[in-house]
Amino acid sequence: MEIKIIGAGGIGTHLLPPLCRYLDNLPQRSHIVVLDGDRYETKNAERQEFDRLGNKAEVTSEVLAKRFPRLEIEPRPIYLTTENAFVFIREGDIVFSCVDNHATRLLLSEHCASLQSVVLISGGNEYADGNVQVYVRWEGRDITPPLTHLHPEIADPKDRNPDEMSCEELARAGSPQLIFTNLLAASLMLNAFWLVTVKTLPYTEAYFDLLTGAVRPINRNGETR
Amino acid sequence: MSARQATLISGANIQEIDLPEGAITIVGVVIARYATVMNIPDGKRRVLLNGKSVVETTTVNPGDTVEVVREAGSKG
Repeated sequence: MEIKIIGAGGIGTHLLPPLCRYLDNLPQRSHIVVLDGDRYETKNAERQEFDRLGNKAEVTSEVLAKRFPRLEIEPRPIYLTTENAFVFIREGDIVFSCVDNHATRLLLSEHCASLQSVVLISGGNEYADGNVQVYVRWEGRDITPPLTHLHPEIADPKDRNPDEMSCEELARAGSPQLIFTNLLAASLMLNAFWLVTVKTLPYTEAYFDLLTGAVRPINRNGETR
Repeated sequence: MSARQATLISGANIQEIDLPEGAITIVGVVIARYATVMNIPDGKRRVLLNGKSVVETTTVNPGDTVEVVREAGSKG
């Protein structure tokens, strides 16, 4: 399997170890590319798993490559941009969007829409709630709706790609998050991945709320666009 | 669900709601009544009635499902 992980922060750092463990035990070999231009800093330790400071893609890939030597894990210490998306996201890929901005979600959704066959699993959260969306294209057809469907905040994002922001802007962009919310988003994304790969995905989006303990899967196929 | 109830959804949360006889039961009023308990933000929002996009002046009838489409999580 060709797997692309976009973002190795709050969600990505929790998603990667179980994903690698699962892939490592499959008969076929998997190739994983981890993209992130950001660096682990001391302040990230309250939510994110890392054993040294440095670029998130490089640090995470280094640890996982040692733990799962059968997997080919390749770090790319850069942000996804319109200029490089076509290089990294290709036909047949399974893409996990673990980013912290809608601008990159829009970029991913639009780029995947230009491919014939691709799976995009996107997770996002606020402090105690969030959602997971699954965009599947097969042989040039949308099997499930793109990330922008019913989500104007992604179609017309008010934030920006981190590649376009200064260090000061990036520092200001951070807002409080909870490790358990990141963990639930990661877990639901992995559930969706497993369902997609065994071809029985019964929903296209799932919302979750830690305050009420609710998880609600929704099948958005066939709704008014 | 009783005879005069509908279903209100926001994000992960679902609630059976009463539609009192004689009360105004348009979408905007129904949402406003439950906005606090369901943690529904004010302002521009997308509403589905039985899965179809509607304006907030649309009438909610017993048995209907109203969904306030919650914004996607922005962080990660």
